[in-house]
Amino acid sequence: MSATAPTPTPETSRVVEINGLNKYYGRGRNRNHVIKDLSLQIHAGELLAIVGTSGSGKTTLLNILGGLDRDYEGSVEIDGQELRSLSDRRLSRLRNQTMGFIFQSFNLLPHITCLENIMVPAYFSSSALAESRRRARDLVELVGLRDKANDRPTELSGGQKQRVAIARAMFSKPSIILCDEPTGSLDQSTSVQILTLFHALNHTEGATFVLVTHDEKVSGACQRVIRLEDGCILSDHRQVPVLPDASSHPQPPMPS
Amino acid sequence: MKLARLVLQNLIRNRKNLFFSSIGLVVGISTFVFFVALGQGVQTVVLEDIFVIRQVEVVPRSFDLAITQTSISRLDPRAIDRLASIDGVVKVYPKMKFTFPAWATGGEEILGKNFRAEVVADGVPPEIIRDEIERGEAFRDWDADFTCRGEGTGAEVGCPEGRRCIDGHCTKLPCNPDSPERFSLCKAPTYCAEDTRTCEMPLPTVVNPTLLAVYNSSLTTALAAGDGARLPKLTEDAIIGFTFDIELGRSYLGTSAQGDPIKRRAQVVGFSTKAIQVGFTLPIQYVKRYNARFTGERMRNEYHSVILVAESNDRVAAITKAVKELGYDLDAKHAQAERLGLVITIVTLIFTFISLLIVTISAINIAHTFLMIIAERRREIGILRALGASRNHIRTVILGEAAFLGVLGGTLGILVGIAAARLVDYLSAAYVPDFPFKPQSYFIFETSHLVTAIAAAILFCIVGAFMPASRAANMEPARAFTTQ
Repeated sequence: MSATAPTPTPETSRVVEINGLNKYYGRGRNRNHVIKDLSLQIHAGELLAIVGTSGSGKTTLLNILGGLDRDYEGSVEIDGQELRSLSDRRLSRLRNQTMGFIFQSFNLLPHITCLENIMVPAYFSSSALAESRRRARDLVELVGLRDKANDRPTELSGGQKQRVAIARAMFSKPSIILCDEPTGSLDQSTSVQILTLFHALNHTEGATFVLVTHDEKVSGACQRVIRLEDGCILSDHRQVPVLPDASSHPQPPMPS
Repeated sequence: MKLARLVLQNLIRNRKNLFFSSIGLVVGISTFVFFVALGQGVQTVVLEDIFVIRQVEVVPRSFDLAITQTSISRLDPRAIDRLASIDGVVKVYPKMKFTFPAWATGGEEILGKNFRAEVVADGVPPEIIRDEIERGEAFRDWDADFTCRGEGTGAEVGCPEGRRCIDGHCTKLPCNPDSPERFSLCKAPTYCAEDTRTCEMPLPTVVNPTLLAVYNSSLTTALAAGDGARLPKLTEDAIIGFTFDIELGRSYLGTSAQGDPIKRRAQVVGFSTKAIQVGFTLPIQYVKRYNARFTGERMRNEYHSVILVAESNDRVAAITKAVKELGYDLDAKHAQAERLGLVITIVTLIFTFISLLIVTISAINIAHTFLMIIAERRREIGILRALGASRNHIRTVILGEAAFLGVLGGTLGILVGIAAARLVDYLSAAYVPDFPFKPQSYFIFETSHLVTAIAAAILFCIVGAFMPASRAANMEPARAFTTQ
């Protein structure tokens, strides 16, 4: 199965603007220059993949984009706000309202239900609890897990966990969703389902997706692919996204 | 409110770890509650029942001359006025002791046999005791002049029993103590006195509850015949109304220097903490008359001590200072009470310190538990930060968990402390023999102490969790994901 998405033009509003980004790990002789003078713009509605070998700086770049790592040189703006200039409170609010995160290992809280996991961002916002619960119910339905809403993550398969993580990332209707190897822990068939969901959300919700991956099939499903090598952008090209065919991959059995 | 849900979820998840680390907290708080209540209870018995600290007894200043004591100040009516004017003194009442020998005989009607004992007695103004006793009107000077109207005997003309109204004054009825009809002449409670040959009312006396407590706990055995039998235990109700005979001016010690001995009947009319502790107390008018009769006229206005009632316990220190400045001393009991009060306070403080030490150790334990929990939750904290939790949110959640633990541990500690106190009271009531002033409960639990205990538990938990909470709050989210 394949799908196409509208290619954003340079006139579309910029969600991310990176200029002269440098990132180092360690000090003195052990100082390691992991991102080297990187500049990049990401526009609203893009479905973008950052690919590269291990150690190329993909995850570091994603952490910086998400405001999880502010120890860098250069300028990183999300929705026009330079991350390093924000107070912890404002940065936290930006993460809560503007960003969504999806991780390879799902990072769900194991002691609470799926519905409660989806609602976690609400604990740090001013939204009313009843309204948050309604939104969480809508999302759990959107990702096709209505009957699993009150289950704990330990009772779900990998694909189902990632669906819950996607629903959680969508909770605050963010303008950008950052995904770190979102299909890395999933089998091929489930990966296709997740990618299909990304496409659907990209279309319906208009969210910008930034996917860090080393899987060519995942990057092939994106409209834009940035290849990193040794902390530098090796290539940045747009393409017609091609979703792998899910029908050729059998659905894994549900865990009992 | 929303964060409270997160706090609750975390507490439920870590309940085992937190339960074991809060055992120390429960022990510490229960120890604190137990010893503070014990100290309060014992202090109350000592300072309010045994030594009434709010009452300061002033005595003339004296100095020792090897074998005798010589007074260098006097307690006369002028001195009493000066003492009454001290700031913080709300009541003053002078006391006067018997200055002559006397003995008492009686006891058969309540103890089963008669006893004869040396009399120790003093006198106080009746008005200061009258309100304390049920038959207050009976504690008065029955030998005073009573005015009346008309002719006749008894209350209908305004005369007490045993008197007749003659020319507007109640005159004692004559009687013949040698006559077999003497009982019918003087109606109860009056009796026919040998020396005056008139009907007399018994001397009204009040007894200190201490004497009853000492009798019930020790004297029931000590005064028994020695064959293992015990005298009956007595209650206040059983003693009120009890009459006995007194011979004034004579005792085992000899006879008085002047005046012939006289016999009188006395009756217990009530109990008062203001009464002399061993002996009995009369209206002061009787003592004045008998001291003048058997010791000399100059003793009519020579008081032995003066009780100053302070407005509150806080004023006692200032009053004692003023008393000393006026040239008087305090009764030895006061210094004894102060020393005992100090000892109780020190002991209570020592145990409070020990309990706080336990709570402190428990706070260290709690800090260790939270450090452990936070190390386990490192990735989770990173997730929460990624989902929008600020440093303050993380700190609030962890300190909220600590505060909740403090409330639970503090409440449990209080319950354990109260249960331990109840157990001690039960064991004391069941197995400890009676002793003077043995209280029903050794403990007084004041709301302020319980609130302090909960507050201390919360505070120590928060202090214990503060460093781990700060460490968690300051954790860089990216490092939380990459480091385990």
